[in-house]
Amino acid sequence: MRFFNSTIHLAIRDLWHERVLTACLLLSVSAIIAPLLLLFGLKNGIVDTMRGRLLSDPSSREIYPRDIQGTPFPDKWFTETMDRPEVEFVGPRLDVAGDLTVRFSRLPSESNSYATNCQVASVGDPRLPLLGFEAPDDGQVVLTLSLAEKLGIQNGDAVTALVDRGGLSSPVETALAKLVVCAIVTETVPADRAWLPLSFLVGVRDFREYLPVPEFGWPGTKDEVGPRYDSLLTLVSRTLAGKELMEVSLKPPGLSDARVIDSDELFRLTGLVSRRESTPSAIMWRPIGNLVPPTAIGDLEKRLGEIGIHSVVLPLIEPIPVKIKCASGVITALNLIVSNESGASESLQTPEAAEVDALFSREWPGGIFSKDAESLDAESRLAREREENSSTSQPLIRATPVETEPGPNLASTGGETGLSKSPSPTNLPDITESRPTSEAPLLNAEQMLPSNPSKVAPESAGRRRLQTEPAALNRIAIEIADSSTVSEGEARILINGMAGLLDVPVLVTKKKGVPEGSALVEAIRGGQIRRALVESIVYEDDHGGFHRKQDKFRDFRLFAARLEDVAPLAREFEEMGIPVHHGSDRIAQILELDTNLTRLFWIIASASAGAGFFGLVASFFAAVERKRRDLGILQLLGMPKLYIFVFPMLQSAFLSFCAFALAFFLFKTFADLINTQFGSELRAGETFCKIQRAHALNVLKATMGFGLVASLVAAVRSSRIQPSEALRAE
Amino acid sequence: MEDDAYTIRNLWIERRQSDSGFRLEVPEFRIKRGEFVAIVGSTGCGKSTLLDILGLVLRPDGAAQFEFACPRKGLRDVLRMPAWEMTRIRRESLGYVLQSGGLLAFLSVGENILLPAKLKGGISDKRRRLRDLTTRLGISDQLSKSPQFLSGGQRQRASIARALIHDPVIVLADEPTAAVDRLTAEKIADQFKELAASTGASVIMVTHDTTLVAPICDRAYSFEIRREVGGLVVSRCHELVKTVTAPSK
Repeated sequence: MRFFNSTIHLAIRDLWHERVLTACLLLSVSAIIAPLLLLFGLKNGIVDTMRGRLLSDPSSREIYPRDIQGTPFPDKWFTETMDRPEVEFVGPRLDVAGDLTVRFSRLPSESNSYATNCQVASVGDPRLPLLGFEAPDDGQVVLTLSLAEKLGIQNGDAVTALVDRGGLSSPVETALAKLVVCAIVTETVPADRAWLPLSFLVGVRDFREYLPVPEFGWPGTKDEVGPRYDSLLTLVSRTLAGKELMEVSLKPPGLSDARVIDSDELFRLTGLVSRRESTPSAIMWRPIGNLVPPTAIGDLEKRLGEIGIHSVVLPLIEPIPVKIKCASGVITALNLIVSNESGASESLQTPEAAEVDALFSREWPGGIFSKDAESLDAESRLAREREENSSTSQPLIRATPVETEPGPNLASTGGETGLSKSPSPTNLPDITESRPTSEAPLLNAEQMLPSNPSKVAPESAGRRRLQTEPAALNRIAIEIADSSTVSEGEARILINGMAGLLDVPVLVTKKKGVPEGSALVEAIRGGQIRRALVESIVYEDDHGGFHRKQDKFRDFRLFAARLEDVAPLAREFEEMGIPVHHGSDRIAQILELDTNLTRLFWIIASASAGAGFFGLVASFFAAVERKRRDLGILQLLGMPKLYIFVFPMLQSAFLSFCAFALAFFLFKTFADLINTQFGSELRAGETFCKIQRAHALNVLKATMGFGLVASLVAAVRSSRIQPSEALRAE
Repeated sequence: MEDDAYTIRNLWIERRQSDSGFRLEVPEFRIKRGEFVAIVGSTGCGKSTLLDILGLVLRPDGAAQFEFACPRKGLRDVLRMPAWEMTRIRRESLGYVLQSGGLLAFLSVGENILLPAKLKGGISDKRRRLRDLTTRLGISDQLSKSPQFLSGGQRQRASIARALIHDPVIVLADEPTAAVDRLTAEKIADQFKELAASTGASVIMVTHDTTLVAPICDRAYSFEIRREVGGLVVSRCHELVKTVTAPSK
């Protein structure tokens, strides 16, 4: 230790003695290290900043399905997924396509209400902390400042949510809910927006689906779903032409495609034949991309009535391929079509409508065709139908008038007491609760607000009620050709629905005139089955009808715990057949940038370090050559050879340390300058140029390591100096 | 013989080049403790080679006997001595006075003088000795200076102090007065002998200036050179008979 201490002392005294040369060497080494530190700091800072922004932005870890899934996700799936360590949060996704717009007003009235896009705010959602509020409890709402200012309310005030349903061709109904504002988002979101608990928005969604929402007291159809039709056929008592036709062609909402059909096509489609020589006008109305709700029938009649044209409106569906299974077990493929004898328009009660109806005779069969129903399975039939739907070719449609005579439910649901809170299972409120759009009633949390029956169902609006008896609805009746091999009596029909195979009990009767290969069903049932092809609807024997499948969510929003978890999770969903949107691409870009910058850094660092290394080797070697005499004297005086060897290495270590310190000082100076210059582009806590303590320590180690290795040549050289050289040199 | 610091018999070392060679032969060499021995000779006679051998920085090719009397350890066979022990003996028992002083430029004069004591260990009790030696040599006011700011004579005095600071057994001096004027050289030589005698150290001074050392040396060695066949130059070291007379001062 005595020699080591002496060597350190001598080495440092020597460096100090040659301080000008030492300073030059120090500067030359620092001039290599400082730019490298700066380069590494920039790479590190930029990548860290980008990575930090990705990390702080939960959307980069967000995964959600590209499409609404056919198979809903059960609650258990959400629970199990949430428990996975690579998942930070997962919840149902409801706010797609802005379909959860709710109006807010200060008072429980529609005056000064503002339609606002609503989002789910659940506990654990990583977006909420960034927005600066916690998930609202039941009965609470979070609003943006702009919306709160419009409403003139503050945190803690009450606000009324007005939830509308209907619209398009169906009447608007509005439900109310009183909420308390629990937070106001001040800066982050400039637009009008509201955040609500999942339960509330699920209620909004269900209300719009005409489902009852008991927790908020919002009424809906308790059980059966209403029918949907492919198109409507309007029969007018006289021939329309010129200006009249133009006026008729003014399209009612939701029915964007209207065309006049001739008598041949009418016969082919419906089996209806005009009793007159002059052909009454028949106009077919079709929506684009949607099915027609039954409320559109009344709307259409009203529109035509307003321009003085009395009409009968028939709903049409395209033939649905089904299989009928008899009690004997024989399965036969048939096309399900709606019967034109199963209903009648309520408007027929008016003299004008009755006059229209009287113009036609029902001549089943009439042009009904089913070329190859036996050979086509249901799936291929559906595909073909879809293609035909999108084309302008002759559609495969059959029509039947809907029964419109007032039934037992009409008095109770459409009478003086207003709308029923609990319609009977056989009631189909899609139709019974329809109202003119302009006179929408309000429904509050306790009950529907009092509505004026006269406004609800003006006679002139052509309000429709199902005439069908409950017993008749419970057992679906179908009629088949009397020549069919299918036997009469109880049977079941099998339908490929959206929610799976529907197995529906039916009562089969044979009837003369029904075309071969077809089965006639009443319009409402046909409409329900048509709807089940595109919506998640099941047939329940227990309740005797078509019901929405009770799965709640068909979409989700998931946040991975770490950036690295996003790609594997996304891949997992893809493998499950669920294409998802995710931020993996952005993450991959950052990681690739990091890799490339690191590679670039190492290329530059290697070149610099290589040049610096050989520079150091030369410098230390020269220093040893300069000191041969001194090192010889030290040996002559008895300094062990080992310490003569160590002498230049100690000098190198000291120089390297000082060079690093100087380089770090220079780096800090320039890094601060860079960060100040680009400060306006940085968020709080971000820096463009920075290195971590561990990085600095590694650079120090590397510098000293390089220095020591570079001094090895000099060390070996010094250890070979003979003490006699001191004598000779003298 | 017990008082001899070195005992050398029939030592030789040979260096050959392509067409020439040099061989140094030392039939006998001894020096007693406290003795002042001069090695004189012309340039190329091998006196510096002998000094290297005596200074334990050069190992001879062979010798009938080459022993060094280590304090507390007795006679040590230098021929079989490991390098580390030669280093230790140089550190503990030898002192060197080099031609131009041989001071390290990066240390002050005081640090230079104390360096052997520091390497030997026990520097703390050498401070007083430093003051004593430098006062007697007349350089006590130069201790904080860098060697480059000293005159030639001051550097040699500092070198003498450095050679004596750690109480060596032998002090080897290689032309210590070659770089100074005659008057200063004589003064330094006298101071050197006086100080060495006071410390009990033996002195071996290599010089070409016979007249300088004749008055002060106890004994002297010189070289007899002959050229043999094959270009080999043989230099044989022998003790001079006391024929050297002191010049009149």
